[in-house]
Amino acid sequence: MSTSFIIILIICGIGYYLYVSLVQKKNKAKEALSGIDVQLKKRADLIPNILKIAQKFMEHEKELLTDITELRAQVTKDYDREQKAEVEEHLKAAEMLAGKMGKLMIAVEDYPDLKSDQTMVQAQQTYNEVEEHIAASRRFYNSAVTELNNAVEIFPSSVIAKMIKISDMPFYEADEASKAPVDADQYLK
Amino acid sequence: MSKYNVSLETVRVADGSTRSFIEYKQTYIDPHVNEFEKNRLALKSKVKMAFVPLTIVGGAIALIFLYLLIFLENNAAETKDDPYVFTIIGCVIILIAAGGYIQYHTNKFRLKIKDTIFPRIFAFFGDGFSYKSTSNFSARTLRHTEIIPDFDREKYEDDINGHYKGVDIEIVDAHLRKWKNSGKKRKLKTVFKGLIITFQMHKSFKGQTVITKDSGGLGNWLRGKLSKYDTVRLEDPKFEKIFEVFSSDQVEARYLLTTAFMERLLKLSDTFGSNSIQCCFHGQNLLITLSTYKNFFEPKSVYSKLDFNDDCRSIIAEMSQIFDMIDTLKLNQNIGL
Repeated sequence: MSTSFIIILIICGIGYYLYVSLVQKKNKAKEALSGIDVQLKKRADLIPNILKIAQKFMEHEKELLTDITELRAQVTKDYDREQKAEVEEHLKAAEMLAGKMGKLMIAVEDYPDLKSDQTMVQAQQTYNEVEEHIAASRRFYNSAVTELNNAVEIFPSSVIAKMIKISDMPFYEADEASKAPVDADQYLK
Repeated sequence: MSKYNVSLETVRVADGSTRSFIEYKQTYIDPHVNEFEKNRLALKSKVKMAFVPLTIVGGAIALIFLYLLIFLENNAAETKDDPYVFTIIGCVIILIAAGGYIQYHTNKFRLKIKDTIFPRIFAFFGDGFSYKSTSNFSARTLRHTEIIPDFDREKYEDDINGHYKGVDIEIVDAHLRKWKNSGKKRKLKTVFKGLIITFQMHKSFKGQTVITKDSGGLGNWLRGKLSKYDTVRLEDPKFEKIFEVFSSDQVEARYLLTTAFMERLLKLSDTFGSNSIQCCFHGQNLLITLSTYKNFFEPKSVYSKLDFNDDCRSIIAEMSQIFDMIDTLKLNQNIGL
C-alpha cells in the first residue's frame, strides 16, 4: 500500500469524522430548539387562562393584554427551523412575550382581589414553573448552538460546513428589557 | 460553645412552620438526663475497673519485650520455645478480652441513648418522623441509579423516616462491601460507607438524571461511555469541577440543576462532612448518597457530662439541610407539568 494512499485514507477519515460531528451538532441544536418549542407551547396554552382571569379585574391594562394576545399568536405560528432569520424572529417574539407576561405578573400586584384569587395563584405558580422549564431549555439550546457555531466557524470543520451548507444558528438571548439595570429607587418609593 | 451553629428557638418542622425546641427538650428529653447520667457514671467505673488489669497486662508485656530485646536478641533458638512467648500470647488475649468488655458496655450504653433519646429528638419534627437504630432498608433495588456501587454485602443502621411538606424522606447509614480477589487473598472490601437519603414525592421526573463526582478528564470520558445517558455540560464552572452530570433528558437536567440547587448540594455535603455527594433523580424519587467514614447519628462522647445538647443541635442542623433541599427543588409542589 503506497504512502500517498494511506495519506488520502487518513484525510478522508478526518473529513468523514468532521462531517459526522457537524451533522450531529446541527441535529442536537435542532433537537434543543424543538425542546424550546415544547415549553413555549405549554406557555402559550397557559396564557388564555391567565388572560381570562385577569380580564375580569384588569380594566386598565387592556393594551398590555392585547399585546400579549398578539405576541402569543406570533409565537405559536409555524416557522422554518432551517432558516436562521425565521428562528431568530421566533425566539425574539418568544422573549418579547416573556417580557410582557412579566409585566402582567407585576401588574397583578396592584389588584389585591386578583392577587388573592385562588385560580390566579395556581395559574401564576404553574406559569413560573413553565418559565423555569423555558429557561432550562434555553440553556440546553444555547449550549448546543455554541458547539455548533464553534464547529461552523473554526477551521478545518468550517470548510466541511460550507461544503455541506451547514450554517450557524442564533442564540436564544434574554430580551433587552430584562437585561436593563433595575432602578431600585422606583420600587422603594 | 457548641460547634453546631443552630438556633433552638426557631426550628423548622415537618409542615414548614417553626417551633421552639427549647420547651420541647425540657418536657421530653431533659427528664431522662439524670437517669442517663447515672448510667454513664456506672459505665465510667466499669471502664476504670477494666483499665486496672489492662494497665498491669500492658506493663507486663512491655517488660517482657524489653527483656527479650536486651538479653535474648542474639539467641533466636532459645527464644523459640521460651515460656515468655506463651506469656505474651496470654497477655494479648487478656488485653483483647478487656478491650471487648469496655467496647461491649460502651456500645450497650450508646445503643440505649439511641433507642431512648433519638426517637424523641426526631419526634419533634412531627408528621410521622421516627428513628430506629436498626433498618430493613436494601439498596439492591437502587442499582439502576448508577450511584450505588456493585456490592455483595449490605449493612444498615439508623433508619429515619418522615414527611416534610408531604415529601417522604428516608435516611439510612449504610455500609456496602464487595468480595475482591480470589483464593486466599479473597476479602470483603468497602465500596460505600455513608448516608443514603431517599425522597419520594408526588412530582414525577420524566427522565433520569445522575450527578456523580468528577473523575478527571479520562475518568469522565470513560464514565460517559459506560453510562446509559448523555453527558450534560453545565455553565457553572465551580459545579463542573466537582461533579459530572448524565441525563436521559437534557432539558429536565438543566431545570433541576439550577445554581441554587448546586449550592444547596454542596452545602449539604459540607454539613454532613462528606467527601463525595452523588444523586439521582428517577421516577418519583430523588436519591442522594453521601460518602463518608464518619458514623452518623451516634451519641456524642459518653465520657463527658451528658446533656444531649450537641446531639439535638447536630440532628437539627442536619435535618434543616435536608428540608432546604426539598424547598430548593420544590419537591413538594405538583402542578401537573
